Amino acid sequence: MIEVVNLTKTFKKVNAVDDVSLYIEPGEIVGLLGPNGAGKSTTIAMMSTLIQPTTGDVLLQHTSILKNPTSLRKVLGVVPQEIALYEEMTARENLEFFGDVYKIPRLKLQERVRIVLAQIGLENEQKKLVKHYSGGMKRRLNIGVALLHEPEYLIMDEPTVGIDPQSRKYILETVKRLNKEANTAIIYTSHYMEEVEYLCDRIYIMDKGHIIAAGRKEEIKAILSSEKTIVLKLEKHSNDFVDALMKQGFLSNFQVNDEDISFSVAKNTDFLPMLLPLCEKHDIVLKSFHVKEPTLEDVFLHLTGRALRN
Amino acid sequence: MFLALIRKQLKVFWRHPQELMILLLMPIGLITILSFALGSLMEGDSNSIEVKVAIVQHEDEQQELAAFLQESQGEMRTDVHSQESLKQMLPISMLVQLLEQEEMQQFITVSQIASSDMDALKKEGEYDVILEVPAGFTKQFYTSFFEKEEIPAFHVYLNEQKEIAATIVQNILESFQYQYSLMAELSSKGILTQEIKLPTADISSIVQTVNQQEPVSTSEYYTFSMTVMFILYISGTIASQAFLEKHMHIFDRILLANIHPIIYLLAVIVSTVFLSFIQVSIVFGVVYLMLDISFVQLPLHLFVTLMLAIVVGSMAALLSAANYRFNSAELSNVFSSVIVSILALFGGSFFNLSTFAPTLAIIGSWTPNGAALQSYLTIQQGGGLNQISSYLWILTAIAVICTAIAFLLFPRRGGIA
Repeated sequence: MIEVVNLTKTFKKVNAVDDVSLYIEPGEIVGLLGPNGAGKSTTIAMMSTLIQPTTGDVLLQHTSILKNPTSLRKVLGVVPQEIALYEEMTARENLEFFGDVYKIPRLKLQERVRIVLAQIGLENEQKKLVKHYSGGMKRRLNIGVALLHEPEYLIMDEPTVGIDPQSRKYILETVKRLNKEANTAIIYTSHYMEEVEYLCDRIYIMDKGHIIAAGRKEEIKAILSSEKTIVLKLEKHSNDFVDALMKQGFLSNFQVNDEDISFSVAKNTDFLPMLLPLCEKHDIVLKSFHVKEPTLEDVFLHLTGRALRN
Repeated sequence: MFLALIRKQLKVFWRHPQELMILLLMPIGLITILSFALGSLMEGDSNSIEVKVAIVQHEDEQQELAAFLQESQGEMRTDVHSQESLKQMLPISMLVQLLEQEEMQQFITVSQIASSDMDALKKEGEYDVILEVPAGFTKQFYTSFFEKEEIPAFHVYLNEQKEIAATIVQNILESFQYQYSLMAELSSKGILTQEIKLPTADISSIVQTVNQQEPVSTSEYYTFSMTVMFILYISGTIASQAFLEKHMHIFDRILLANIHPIIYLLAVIVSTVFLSFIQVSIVFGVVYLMLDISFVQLPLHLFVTLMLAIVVGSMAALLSAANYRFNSAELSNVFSSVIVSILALFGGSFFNLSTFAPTLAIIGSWTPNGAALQSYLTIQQGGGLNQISSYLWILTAIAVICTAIAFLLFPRRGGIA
């Protein structure tokens, strides 16, 4: 198990990470969700021994690794957010180089390169220079390099940024497969809540350097268990209508788009007797309405008052 | 693992054709251009001086001497002993003999041309110097000698487009004239003996002076000066590539593989030394084939190259460390675009500073390229390890200082900036 205990990192008197604690056990997928600038990358940089925390500790099997990070590095793979590859080298050359750096014996390395290329689906493109790869292929190779030494723990920092939906799906499936087949524990950081929701057993939500929520998916969503989210589909709406809705004291978390309006309301509240006369009064045609299951996005909105991707 | 880091560096370097062009083709191109463009202007370019001298005689010296002896028969001055001396002193023959001496043959070619071709000869301009000996010159010369009459003159045509060649021949003729007069005077006083022939010592001293001023050809000078300049670019290039590894988080990956940062820095040094050595070897090889430049003491040349390559390696480490420390490739970019040019200027890569600014030349010899250039030139002039030891100490000191600062500056961890 890797544990992060009360980690703080201060850059020029600003706390990029403030008193963060989290853990990951063998074989699980843990999500670290938060908007850009939340402190996710700094947290994993400390967790992977690349930068020293200002205060706090990182433990592997209950032993601090801050002074001697070797033991953690042996069992840890890191997929950085950046494409950390040599563009002038082929996929195979990149894998062989990083394998050599990890001191994997020659024969074993050849076998590992073959397996990793199959895992990331680049067997047929292995002799192409990386600079000629698509964004998705580069991302896959970026993951492959971190798998060479068969790590028990894998930290993936926003591994799907800037790629097409097909490649994104491929990567998500690869992550699932890795976890299932190799029992690799994965920390997956993202600001895409649907990815985290799809992959992860447990989730940490970060904002402004703090962990603002943690637990299993269901537990986090239960934060909103006392409320339900209502989505109204309208033919058109007016500002007067929205203002009138907002003046109703029992509605909250408004989000207004072109054709729909969503808001939260206490679970047992019957809002229809209020809504229908209001539509009639403002000459609003209500096409439909439905009660939505709460998402992590809703939780984040509820906790911070901001949307995750703002 | 260490070898893998070096192999990777060479591979990445090899696959940057634009940088290869700058580091290999540019020095070779510049050496060739500068050698041809400045070859005739540079001092010390003995190989480029080839003086072609044409001698046109409108008389036969032997017949002229015979005529002189016949006219002066019975006179005291032309006894048997004197006649023998006069045969030895035929003025034009002596001049030709002087010009065809072994030392002179290195740069003077003498051709005897028939008098009927004189007009064509002057028009063609093929020869740098034409000596025209008028009819009756020898007879009149001897007559003037004994009768103290006016000394006859032969005509010298100098090709004004070949100023250096003309000056050389003019100096030789003046010296010859002086030596001949001296010898004749001695002869007339009865001091000259059979053993004393041509007073060549003073004349050859002129040749020696010429050799001392021009020990290294332009091609040789620019071969070394351009080489020591362009080798510096390797350190800037490697440092920029090293920073790219940090910027792209490749360095983080290397650290995560439990490679100590100092091992990484050592790999930067070793691969730079290797690349620098290869670069210089290729440049030397090409100029040897293209410009026929010989490296008179190859082992010493290679030793200096190795020392310079180590300095370049240490500079690459220093620039890399600074780039990492300040999280910017600005310093290595400034080094490549500005500092190399300044070092090249002071180090004598563009022209030989010692000819007009000796103080600057001394300062320049404290630059890595300047010290290496002086070492190469000294070796090329026949100097040994003793003569270049002061320059080698300078190179060693620079390498040690750069490496020490690099090791102090280089961060021990990676991660986000």
